[in-house]
Amino acid sequence: MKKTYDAIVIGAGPSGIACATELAGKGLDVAVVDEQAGPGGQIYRNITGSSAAQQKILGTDYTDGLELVNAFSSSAVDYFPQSRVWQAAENGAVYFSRNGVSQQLRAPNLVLCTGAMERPVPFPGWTLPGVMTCGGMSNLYKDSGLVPSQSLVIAGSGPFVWLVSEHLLALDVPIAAILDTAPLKQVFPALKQVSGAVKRLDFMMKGVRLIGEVYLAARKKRVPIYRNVTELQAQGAEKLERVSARAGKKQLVFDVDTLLVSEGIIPNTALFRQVGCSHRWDPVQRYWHPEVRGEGQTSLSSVYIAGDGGFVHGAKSAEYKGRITALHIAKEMRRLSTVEYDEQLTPVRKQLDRELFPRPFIDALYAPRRDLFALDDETVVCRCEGVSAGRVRELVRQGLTDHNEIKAIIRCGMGPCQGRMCSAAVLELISEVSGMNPANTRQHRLRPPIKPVSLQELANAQLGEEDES
Amino acid sequence: MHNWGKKMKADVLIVGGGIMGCATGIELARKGRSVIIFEKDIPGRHASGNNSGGVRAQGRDLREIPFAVESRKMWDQHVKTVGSDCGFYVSPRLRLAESDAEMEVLVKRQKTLNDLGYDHEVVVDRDEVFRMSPHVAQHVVGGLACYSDGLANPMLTSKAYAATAEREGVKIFSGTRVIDARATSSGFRVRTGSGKDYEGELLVNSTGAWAGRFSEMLGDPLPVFATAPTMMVTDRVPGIMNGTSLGLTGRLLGLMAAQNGSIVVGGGYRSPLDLEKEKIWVDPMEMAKAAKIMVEIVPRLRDAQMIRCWTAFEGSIKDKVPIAGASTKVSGLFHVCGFSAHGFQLAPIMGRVMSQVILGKQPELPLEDFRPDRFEKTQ
Repeated sequence: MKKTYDAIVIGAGPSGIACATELAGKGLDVAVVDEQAGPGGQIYRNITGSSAAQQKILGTDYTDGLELVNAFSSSAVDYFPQSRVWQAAENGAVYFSRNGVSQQLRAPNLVLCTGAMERPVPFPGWTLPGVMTCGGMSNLYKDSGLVPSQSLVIAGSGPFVWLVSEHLLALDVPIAAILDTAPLKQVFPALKQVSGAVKRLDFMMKGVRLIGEVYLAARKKRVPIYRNVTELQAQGAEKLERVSARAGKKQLVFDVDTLLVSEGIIPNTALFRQVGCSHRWDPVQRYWHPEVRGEGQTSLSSVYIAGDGGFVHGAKSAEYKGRITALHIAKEMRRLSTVEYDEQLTPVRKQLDRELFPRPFIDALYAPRRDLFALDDETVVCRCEGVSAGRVRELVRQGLTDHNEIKAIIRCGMGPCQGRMCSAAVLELISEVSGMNPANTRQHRLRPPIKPVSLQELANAQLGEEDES
Repeated sequence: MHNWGKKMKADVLIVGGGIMGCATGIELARKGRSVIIFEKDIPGRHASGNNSGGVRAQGRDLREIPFAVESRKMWDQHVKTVGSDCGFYVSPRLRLAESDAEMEVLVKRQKTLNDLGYDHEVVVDRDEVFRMSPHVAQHVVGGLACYSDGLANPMLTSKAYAATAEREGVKIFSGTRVIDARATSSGFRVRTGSGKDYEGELLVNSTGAWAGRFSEMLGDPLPVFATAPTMMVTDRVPGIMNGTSLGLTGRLLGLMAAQNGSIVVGGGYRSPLDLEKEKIWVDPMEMAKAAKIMVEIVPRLRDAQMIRCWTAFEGSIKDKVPIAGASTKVSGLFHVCGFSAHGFQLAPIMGRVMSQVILGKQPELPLEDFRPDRFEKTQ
């Protein structure tokens, strides 16, 4: 089996496949390693296998991906689907498991297109079976066309809440209520960013139209929508039985067995943290993101980022970022002259800029609200190890302000997910108790493997035979 | 109480705030000495807080055994001495023999220890092996058990030692790198990264992986080099280890049975490192080697998951025993370093013995075998 390439792209979402297709088009030897069964990432998940009915519900935001996926499929890329990357290294090595065997590939250029994930936010009862994310629901539908037949509640803030509501309303799923947790007052700080947004009125109108349509459809089906919702709780003994919340003075209770939540989208930085890229704290969206320069360069010369893994800007932007990074690598590998590079870069750069105009407004409008992590002491923060918010606060009061050390003592973030679910909350707790700006804390480190590997898989490793010459 | 404000002076300056430096500082402070510890990061950042947590007397070099035996007693006293149990619990350590030839090695080992008057390692037959660890592979023929060995939480231990040192009046400067250290007419002068100078009568080198470089600065270069032992931990597989930790006789592997049901894997696998940049790269090939042996020794671990690997900088020496005691070249300088990735268990006793030497007393255990100039003599 071939082991070395000019570039390895990790992730087959819009940025990964756009990047790989472009690289292959320039004559570079490219491998794409991805966890899913087919190309498309989360946004275009199962796009080549989905039915006409699914595509109709999911709309053009989904079907727009077909062209991209088809171009990728007919390119000369070596594609490794169903391959779980568990470690990457600065020297260009990528380790992954496929069909029960660990393997290694190498390239002088790694493009990490790890995409985004939903912001994990603990709240009372969030670990109960029956509580799932809007993204999880969306994936289930894209994969299988399945939706719940029992009544459910949708709660959270951000465009994803409205998008999933629109789909579920169209599919006649019985919805007990839609709970919008975005504080209305966040409109005001967001208005500071409105100058960029008005350059893309079409984009803004699309958002307004989406929310308007959800309101109309909800009214028609008598689904109540509550704004400014707080105190969300999932209740039940073994599984979800009830959702309670507050809307103004009104106490809400719904007897449902499914709750869909979403509190926004953040970059999936696990691999960047493991490989050792420098990160920055974004004070508006309150997440760490890898430092990235104009063409996707990171603090490590062999590692590039394209797509939402660097900063969340959406699928279209991801695609353009993937192209730009590919052009840059092709230039560096002398497959493009500077003139050709400039010629080809300019139009893509323009497209990307157009996509980015409204983002500061959207980011400010849907910034995590102030009390998002105002957790009760009893709320479980680390679900792998069952560590409560109170226990974390206790250690911060003792003077520990480094998640890595807190973890080594009370195990929060030490389980199989390695803090993917708890590190945002632990950081907010550290900041809350110590008064430290998160930007000044030591970022939670991620050790290899970033995803569990079975010992048998590891024992079966084909890592040894290196063909370096 | 010491007035630290402008004085910038102490009886003893300790460089390195790991568990060795803190253990030594605690004992000195308890004898009334003023102590400053300089720590370039924070206590517990490196090997002290990130080792595999083995509190092991088994399998030690003969020269270390008196120290390990005495230290083991001190691990039971931590609630009293440092205000925390350090997460310590007993997990008997069983060294397996995979062949009759290996069994002979173990029998010899026990005899050697018995002749020296120690009885902490006991040869056990196959039945006892399977009683202690029911899921080991059928080819195992016997073992050597150390029933009193255990495991502890390294970060908790490091923090408990640092907090105790501070309670006893030791001043710990975290985030303070020593960039220069030299002997003066009245003792030592240490300069920190921010350009401040500190003076002390005596100086202790407990700089772990950085001991080679630091000792050179003082004109007493030690043959300590940095290594990065690599460990991994599995998901929870309760019931498989039966609380017994395992080692091997002929191959590299250490399996520690953590209380929550996961297994910490160590045993001498190493990763490439860059001490200057303070970077370590976990080498998956090494982990694959460990995994291969693991599934051979405990076949039921086949389905266990490796969920995390980690490493830390350790100071190592070629004969794998530490350097501890007074410098043979610079008067007033003391070393306690080079524990070669097995210093964690020894820290309590080392702090006590070092404080005795530093105060000019006869140490309760002789440090002769750990002399810094032992390699020069043999040349």
